[in-house]
Amino acid sequence: MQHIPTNTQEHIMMVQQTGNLPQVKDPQMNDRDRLNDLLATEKYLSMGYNVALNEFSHRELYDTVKMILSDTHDAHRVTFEQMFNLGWYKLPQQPLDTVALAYNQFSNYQGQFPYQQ
Amino acid sequence: MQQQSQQMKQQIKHQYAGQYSQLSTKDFNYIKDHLSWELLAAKKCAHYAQESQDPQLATLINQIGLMHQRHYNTLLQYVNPQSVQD
Repeated sequence: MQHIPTNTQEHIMMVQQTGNLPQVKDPQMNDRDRLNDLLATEKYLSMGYNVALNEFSHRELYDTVKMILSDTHDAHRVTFEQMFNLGWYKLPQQPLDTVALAYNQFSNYQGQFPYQQ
Repeated sequence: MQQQSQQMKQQIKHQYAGQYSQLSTKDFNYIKDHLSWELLAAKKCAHYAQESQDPQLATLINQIGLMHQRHYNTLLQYVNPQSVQD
C-alpha cells in the first residue's frame, strides 16, 4: 500500500500495479475491463435484490433472497479487493485535517440528541 | 399414500396461509427476473474466465460464476410445483 503525494495536499491510496495488462491498449477487452464489468454486474444484481426484498410477501423467499443478496455483496467486495491488490484501483484519500474538522462539527451536534445516554 | 401426502400438503398450505407462505404475483415476477439475471451472470463469468490472461483471476471469476449458478438453482425451487416450499 503506497501513499503517493500529488501536487496538492492530496494522497492517492494504491498498491504497486502487478496485474499484467497489454502494454499497448487496443479495442480488445483486457482483464481489467472484465473485472470492471463483473463489478458492475454484481452491483446491478444487488440493487435488484434490494428492491425486491422490500416487496416480497412470501416469508421464506424473503429470508432466502436476503442471503443471496449478502453473497452478491461479498462477490462484489472480493472482486473490488482483487482489483485493488493488482493496482488497478486508485483512491484519492480525504485530507486528514478536513476529517478532523468534520469530527468536531458532528461531535457538537451530539448536543442535539433527543435521548439521554 | 400418495393421496394422503397430497392432503397433508394441502393442510399445511392452509395452515400457513396466514404466514405469507404463498407466492404473490409480485413475488413470482421478481423470481423470474432474478432467474434471468443469475443465468446471464453465470454465463458471463464462464466466458470471462476463459478469456482471462491470469489463471488466478480465472479461478476467482469461475467461483463467482458458480455462486450465480447456485443462486439460480435456489430461486428455481420457489417456482417448482413439486417443492414443499409453497
